[in-house]
Amino acid sequence: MRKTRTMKSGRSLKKLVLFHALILCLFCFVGRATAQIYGSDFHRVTVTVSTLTAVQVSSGSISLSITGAGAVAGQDQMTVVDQTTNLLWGTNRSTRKITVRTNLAAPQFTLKVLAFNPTVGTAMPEVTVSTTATDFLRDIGRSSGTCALRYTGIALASQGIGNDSHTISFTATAQ
Amino acid sequence: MKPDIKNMTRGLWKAAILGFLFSARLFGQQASTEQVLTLQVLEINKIGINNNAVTLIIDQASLENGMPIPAVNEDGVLVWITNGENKKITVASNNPSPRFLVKLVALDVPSSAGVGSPEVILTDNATKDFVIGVSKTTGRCKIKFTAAAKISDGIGSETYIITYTITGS
Repeated sequence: MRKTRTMKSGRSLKKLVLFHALILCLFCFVGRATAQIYGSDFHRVTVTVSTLTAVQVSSGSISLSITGAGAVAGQDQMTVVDQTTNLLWGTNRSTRKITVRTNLAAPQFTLKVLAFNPTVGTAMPEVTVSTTATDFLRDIGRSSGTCALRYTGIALASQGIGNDSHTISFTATAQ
Repeated sequence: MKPDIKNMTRGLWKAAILGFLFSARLFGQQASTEQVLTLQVLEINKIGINNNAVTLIIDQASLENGMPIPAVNEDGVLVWITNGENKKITVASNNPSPRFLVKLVALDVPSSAGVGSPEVILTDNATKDFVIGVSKTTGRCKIKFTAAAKISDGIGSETYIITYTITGS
């Protein structure tokens, strides 16, 4: 009877020792693991790129003069051509175009403009400038580019002499 | 009551911020630039002829009276353009005392281009009207030359330099 009780108490002691050993191991492991991380935190960084569109002309003013140098007797039309200024643009959005218009509602003479040799986009055929915004350059999306502005002034003999003062607006807008 | 006012104020602020952001977005989508362009047209007057040399040969006589038959030439064409008003075209010869008779007239002048003067006789080197009433127009006409000689003029050759000028009337 006593022998049996002694055996039982021996097993219990063994179990107790094993249990404590296990606890000790766990404690040590957790202690070791927690010893490497003292603290952590995070933040979210968001970068937002808005729609950016810029248009600029290389010169704010330009003057064309029909002096008769190219006039031919018997031919009614007299012209002058100027290609000294450039249009520059940049946009980070696709499907963009540039339109052109003037503020002069009733010009005495005809003024045409052409986007000559654009680095990007498709130039429209020569535009007769009016107060209605007209497509000048298409398909310029996500690009920065430049083109020469080729202006042609046209006067007929019947239109006489005079001055037209235009404010020409180039606008980059949705296509 | 107080929480309602607070909510309304908060709502107004939100609307204002949204409106600002929306307008900023619109501005970002469209950009514009301007260029001031002046187109000036000065007064322009040009005149030209298509043939620089005209030869008139009187080599026939009338069977009725024996007089030399005048020589006629209509090959010349005069063209002009002016964007000015109240102009005319004049003609002048460089010969102050011609031996033979030379006359000229402008034919087929369009009504919009001016009015042809009566036949001009180049009796001296004075400037004479050839086409009048030329204003802000282009035009063209034939130049009809007539050369005549009398028996007493004998034979010979004379050269004239005829100058056409577009000028103020």
